[in-house]
Amino acid sequence: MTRKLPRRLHAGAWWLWALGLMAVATQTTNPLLLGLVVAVCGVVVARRRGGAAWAGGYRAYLVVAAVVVAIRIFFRTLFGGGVGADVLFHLPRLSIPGGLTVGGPVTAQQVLAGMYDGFRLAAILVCVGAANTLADPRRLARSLPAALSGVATSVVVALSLAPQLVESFARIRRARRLRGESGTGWRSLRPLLVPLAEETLHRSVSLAASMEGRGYGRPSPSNRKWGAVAIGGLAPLAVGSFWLVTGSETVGATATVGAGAVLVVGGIAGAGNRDRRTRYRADRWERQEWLVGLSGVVAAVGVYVTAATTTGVLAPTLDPLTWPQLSPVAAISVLVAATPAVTAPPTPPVPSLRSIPEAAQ
Amino acid sequence: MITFHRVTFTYPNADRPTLVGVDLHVGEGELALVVGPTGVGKSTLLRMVNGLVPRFSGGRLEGRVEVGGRDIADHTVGEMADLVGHVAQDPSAGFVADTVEEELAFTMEQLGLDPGVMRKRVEEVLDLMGLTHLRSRRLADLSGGEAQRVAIGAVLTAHPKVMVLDEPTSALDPAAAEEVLASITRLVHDVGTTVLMAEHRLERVVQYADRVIHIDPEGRVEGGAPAEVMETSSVAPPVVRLGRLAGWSPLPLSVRDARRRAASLVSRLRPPAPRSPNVGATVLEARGLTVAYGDVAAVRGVDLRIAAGEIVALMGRNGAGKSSLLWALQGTGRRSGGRVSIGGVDPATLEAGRARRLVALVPHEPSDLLFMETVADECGRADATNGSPPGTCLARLRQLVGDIDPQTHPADLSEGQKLALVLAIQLGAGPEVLLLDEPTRGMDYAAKQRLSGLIGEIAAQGTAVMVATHDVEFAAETAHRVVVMAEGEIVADDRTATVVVSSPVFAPQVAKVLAGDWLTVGDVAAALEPA
Repeated sequence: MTRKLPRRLHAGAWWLWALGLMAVATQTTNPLLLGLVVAVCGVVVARRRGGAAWAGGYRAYLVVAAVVVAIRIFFRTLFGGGVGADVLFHLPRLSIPGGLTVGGPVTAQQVLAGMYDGFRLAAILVCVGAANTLADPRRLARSLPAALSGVATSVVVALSLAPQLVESFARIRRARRLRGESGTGWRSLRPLLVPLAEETLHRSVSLAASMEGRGYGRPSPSNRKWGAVAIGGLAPLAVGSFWLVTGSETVGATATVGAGAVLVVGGIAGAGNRDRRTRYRADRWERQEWLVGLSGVVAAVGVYVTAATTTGVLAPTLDPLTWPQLSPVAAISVLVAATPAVTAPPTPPVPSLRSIPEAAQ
Repeated sequence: MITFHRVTFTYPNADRPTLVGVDLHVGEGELALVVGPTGVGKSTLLRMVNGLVPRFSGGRLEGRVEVGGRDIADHTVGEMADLVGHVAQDPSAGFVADTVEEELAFTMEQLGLDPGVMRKRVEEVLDLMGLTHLRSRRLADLSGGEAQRVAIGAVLTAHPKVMVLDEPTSALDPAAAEEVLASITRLVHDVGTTVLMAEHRLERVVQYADRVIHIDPEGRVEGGAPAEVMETSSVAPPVVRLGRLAGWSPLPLSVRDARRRAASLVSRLRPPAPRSPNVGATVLEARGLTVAYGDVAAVRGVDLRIAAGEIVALMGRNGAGKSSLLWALQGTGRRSGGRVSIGGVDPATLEAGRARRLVALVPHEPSDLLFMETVADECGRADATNGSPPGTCLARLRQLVGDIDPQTHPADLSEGQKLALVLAIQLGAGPEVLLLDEPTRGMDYAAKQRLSGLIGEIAAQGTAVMVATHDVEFAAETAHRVVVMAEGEIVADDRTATVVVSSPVFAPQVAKVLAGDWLTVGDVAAALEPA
């Protein structure tokens, strides 16, 4: 096999991979399986993250995930109402008018239920974090279908503006001291907010002028018709999804969702064909993208198969308390999602930046 | 290439037109320079070329503007994008992408060029504008000169026949300005692009122009050969004013032109009167001042003393640490080491209200300090914070800039008036030291002259003044002493004449022409013996 040269993987591949793992996480409360998902994310991020600015946030996602678990356990302990047989300890009981009780006996079941639930949310968060760390969200927006490129450009521009806003805020806050303004309340906020609002407005206007002057929003041969088709498809899609979730009528619901999806996809494709805009150095979708994206799909499919064929694996019973089981199909399919750690190309190094922030000058 | 036919333009709610009866023609491949005092509509004229005025600004346009055979009345701004590249005053405010390469490609993406063509053009423009080493940099990390070149490159990739540049060098240090101008002249010479450019700092650009378009305060426009227009222009660089003083004809436009005729003038000049500031005791003393951001030292062990009544100009490249030094001296900015003492007290140890009685700073963006609805409110609030009787600040403002309507919104003031307002607010506290960061941005020669006189008066009352500036002419006009910084260290600190005359970058035009200690046209006029 030839050596893999560093290159930027298509952002869509990483998001497809992460979506697969997220689908796994939503299907299960099994802590072993969820732990496996988190571990897989960790391995891939550690092996394939770049050194760019957006890649530094993974740790923050982990912290938030841990906080989510802690909060879930805390609330279940406090408000759990002593469901289950295995009482761990007693909290002083407090009755709140309205039938709500706080405290009382705390059972292993309620603590574990809180923990499993927290794990599930945490795993989803970690998956999002991994996708964000591995692929620049801006590049994902740039890879959207051509029909959405107008929207995508606005999103990209907005994302680039956010850090500038933070810089302006810091600069203006520093300037406030120069005028000897201090104190509290509305009077102290005004010196911050008015210049910030003025600058933001001014900047937006110049940005809009610049974008227009550079051809953004040039009228292209009408794609309104196709746009209408796509938007028209959203209604059956939404209604059908609602049916599907409430589960009243599966066949009709599936058909409605299908029809809506066809309209939306067709509309977007039709509009895209007429779009004149092109993309500079668009991310390419090659073999490695397939490998990464499909590994996530395999994980999701494996867990769906497990759900259909077994009971008690994906949602371990708590009453009676049992050690959660791991089915081989589920475990192996999630482990397949770890293959991008090897199959994905290494991320290219980031050029060194000038290290003094402009705002600090 | 660009034709204005009897164009009169009035902004909405304006009581008189900004431009009146403009008849103008700029030929293909010409470099035309638009000059005139602040606020006369230079930007308006430029923005008409791709239709931003009136389509974006509103207002009423009479007459016809045609660019490359297209009438702007029939085409939207977006439809002009393949013909006209417009670079606004603040290039970074117009950036849409994250990295240099993506920014360069944006216009082409919108125009729908083939990916292969885009790739090739980006590489060409990277070379043409000297940006190759910056290709994957984040735009936020660029210096001022680099950002300006990226902004020019970003419209250049679409191969426009016309480039419109609004004050491309105004925020740049002299060396970075040279770089940008070199790129622009290369465009004109090698690519044959028609360039329409507005600029206040004529000393930097007038010698490159094929045609000068002068706008007067009434909105009348006159175009012609540079030397002819400069005869009567209301704004003129020092070399032209020197030529007028000496009665040279045709007027010299570059230092080189003037130097060849300088001998006869020098023989008629007395040596310049030494500038003897009425300097008192040392007010501000800094020792070992260091400012570090992470591993990078912006200011490195700086020792500095400023005396009462002294005016010091602080010069150096963009990013040399000038602003960091000013903020550290004032006490609000980060300080990693060293001491500052103003009359024995370190302003960093005082709370904000007391610190500004010792040292006042007018920052790079004076409008950061303005947040009330009217000038009168701003002044009222300043008097309240300063504990001075109501009306003090407004009276001082009138003293600085003459009559001003107190009900004006601060955002509607000109750059010069904004600066004066902030100056009036800051001086209200009666500081012993006044620090100004880059105050001459966007000012024409007359406004700079007034500011220079103003700073002289403030210093004459015993305040120590330090001005960070890129403007060598302004420094030569104003300062008693010049401090030059590079990489956070002070590399020169001496009398103005000593520092600037010996430096090829910081020498004002008059000093370059006469090769003597005369720094400004005023110096020469004073030294001129009656013939």
